[in-house]
Amino acid sequence: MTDNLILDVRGLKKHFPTYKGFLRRIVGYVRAVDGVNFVVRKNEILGLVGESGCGKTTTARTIARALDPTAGEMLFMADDGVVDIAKLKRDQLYPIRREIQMIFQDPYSSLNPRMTVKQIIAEPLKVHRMATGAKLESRVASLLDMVGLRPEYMERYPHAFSGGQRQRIGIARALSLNPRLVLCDEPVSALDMSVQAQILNLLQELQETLGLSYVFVAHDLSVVEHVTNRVAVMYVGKIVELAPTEALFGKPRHPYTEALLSSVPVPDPELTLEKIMLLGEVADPSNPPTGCHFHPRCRYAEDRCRTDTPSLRVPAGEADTHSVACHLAEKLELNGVAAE
Amino acid sequence: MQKILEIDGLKTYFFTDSGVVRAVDDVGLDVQEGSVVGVVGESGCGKTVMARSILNIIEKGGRIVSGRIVYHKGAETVDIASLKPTGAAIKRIRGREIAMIFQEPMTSFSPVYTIGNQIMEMLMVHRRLGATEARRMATEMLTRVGMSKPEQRIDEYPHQLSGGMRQRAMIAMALSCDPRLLIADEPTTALDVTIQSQIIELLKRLQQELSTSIIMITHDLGVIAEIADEVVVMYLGKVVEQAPVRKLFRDPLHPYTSALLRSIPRLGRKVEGRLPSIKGTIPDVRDLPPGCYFHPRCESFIPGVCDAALPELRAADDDHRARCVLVNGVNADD
Repeated sequence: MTDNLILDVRGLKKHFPTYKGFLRRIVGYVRAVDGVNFVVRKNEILGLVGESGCGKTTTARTIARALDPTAGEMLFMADDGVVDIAKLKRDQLYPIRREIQMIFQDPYSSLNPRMTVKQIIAEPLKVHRMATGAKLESRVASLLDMVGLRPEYMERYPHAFSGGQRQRIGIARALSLNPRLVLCDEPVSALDMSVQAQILNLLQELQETLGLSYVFVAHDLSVVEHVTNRVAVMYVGKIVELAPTEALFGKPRHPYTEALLSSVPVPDPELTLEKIMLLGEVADPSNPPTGCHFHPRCRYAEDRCRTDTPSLRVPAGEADTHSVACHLAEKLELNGVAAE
Repeated sequence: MQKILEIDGLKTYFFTDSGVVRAVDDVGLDVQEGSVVGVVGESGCGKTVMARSILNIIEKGGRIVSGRIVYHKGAETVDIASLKPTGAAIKRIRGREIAMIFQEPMTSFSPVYTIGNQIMEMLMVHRRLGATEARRMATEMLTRVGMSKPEQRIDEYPHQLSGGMRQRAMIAMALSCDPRLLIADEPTTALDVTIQSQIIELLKRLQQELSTSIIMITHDLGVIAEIADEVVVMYLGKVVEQAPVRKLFRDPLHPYTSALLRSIPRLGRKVEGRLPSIKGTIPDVRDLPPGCYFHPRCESFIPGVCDAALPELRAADDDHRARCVLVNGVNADD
C-alpha cells in the first residue's frame, strides 16, 4: 500500500439475502454492492454518485462497518499500520471507529431529541475515553466553534435548531474524535438551497484545515462537481466510471455518465441543450440484466454488451487515472458538460 | 392570451396553539391560458399552501382569511376562495377543471384499489362515462403518459409500480378529465435524475398537446428554468419577485433571488474556491423579523430602512416586480 493512500477497497461485495415463504428460505440475493475497487487518497474528496439502488450508500456504510461485507478487502491505513477493516471482528472495530466517522443525510433523525447538544457531541469522547470534566466541556465548545455554532448553545436540545444548524451539530459529532476518513452520506440533500452552500463550504474548509479525506456520497451532480477531486459513478452495484472530477464531467467515457450529466436540469433558461432520454428505469439489483447491466437503457449497445460483462479498465489513449467499464469506450465520442 | 386564473391578495393562515402562522400572506399571481407558471421557494415559503388554497384543500387548522382566487371559464367566473371547501360547487372544479399532482404519488393513490380503478372512478364521476368506456379511456391515458404495457399495468396496485411509473400514473389520472389547469407540487423531487428528466419532458409535451396551463411548484431552480414561462419567487409567505423566466435568471432584482442563483453550484461551471453562500437560516414563520423578512440575511441591507417597514412589491417594468426598496433606485434618501 503506497504512502499517499488512506483506504484501498478491493473486490468489495455486499449481498442482502431475500427470503420467501413460511420457512423464510433464502430465495435470492440483492447484489447491492457487487465487486467494487477503488482507493481513497489522503486529503482527497472522492465522490460516489449514482441513482437510487446503485449501492453508493451501502458502500459507505460497509466501509464504516455499519454493515458487514459479503466479500472483499478494505485496507485502511491506520495509525499503527495497515488494517483490513473487512476482516475485523465486531469487538476489534473499536479503535477503527475513532478514525472513520460518518455524516448522515437527515439532520432530523440522526440526532437524539432527548439529548442536549453537549451530550450528543460529548458521547463519542466519553465512549473512547478521550476527555472528561472541564476538558470535555472545552472540547465540545471548541468543536461547536469550529462548525460555526455559538458554544453557549450546548445546553440546548436539537429541536431548537434549524436543519442547517443540526447538520453542523452532526458534523461536530463526527469530528469530535479527530477522524482521518469521513464518510459523508448525502450531507446537503435534505437542506434548503439557501443553506446548502454554507454547509458545503464548511465541509470543504474542515477538510482542508484538518487534512481529512472524504468519501462523498451524493446524487446531485452539480454538488459533486463542486466539491470532489475524483468521482466514481455507480450503476446497479458496480462502478462504471472512475476519474478525476474535471475529466469525468468534461469528457465522460461511459454512456451512463453521459446520460446522467445530460439529465440534470440546468438553472439557465437560455440554454436549450439536447437531452439524452434514458429509456426505462434502473435495473433491479436482485435480478440484474446479463452482460453490461446498463445495456437495456444504452443507446449505443451492441450484441456483446448483452452477453459479456465489461470490467473497469483504462481505455486505450486515456490517462491512467480514468477508468471505465464499457466495451465500446474507444469507439464512442461522448459529451460532457464543460463550459464553452 | 386569456387569463385562466387570477389570485389576488390571498391570505391563508393557520391558527395553532403557538400562534397564527401566516403561511400565505397577500399573494397575487395570474395564470394565462396555456402557460406554465413556476412557483419557487424554500421550506416555509408557503408555495404548497398556496397551491392547496387554489383547490380549497387546505390542511386542518388553516383557512383562507381573505383574498380572491378567480377562475375564468369562458364568460363565467368563479371565486374559489369564497366557495365552501366541502360544497358541490368546488367539487365540480376539483379534478375536473383544476387537477393536482403531488410529490409522493404513493400518498395520493389509495393502496387498496388498482390504478385503473382509480383513474376510471375519476372518469365515471366527472365525465359520467360507463365502465367500459372509462377503462378504454384510462388505458389510453396510461399509454399517453408513456406507461409500458398499459393493458397490464392498469390492473396493478400502486405498490407494484416503481416511483417513476407511479408518477406517470398520477399524471394520467390528473389529466384524464382534460383539466384546464394542472397544479404540480414538486412532482419530480422524489425521483432519480434520469427519471426526473423523463417526467419533465412528459409534462412539457402534454402541456403542448393538450394546451393545459400548469402551476409548477418546486424548490429546484433547474426545474423552473426547464419548464416555466413565468416565475414567482416566494419567501416566508410573501411573493418577493415575479418575472418572465429569462428575465428572472438573467436580471434578478431581489437580493434573495440573486443570492440564491449565485449560491447553487452549476454543472460545467465550477467556481474556484468557495460558493458565495447566503448567511444565516430561514426564520421561523411564527417569529418573523421586522421590516423586510430577508434583511437579516441580505448583503444589501440598509439599516433603518430595510428593518423598518416591509417593502411593497414594486414594478421595475411592466412584467417584472420585486419586493425590495432597491428596485427603481428608490433608496434611503426618499
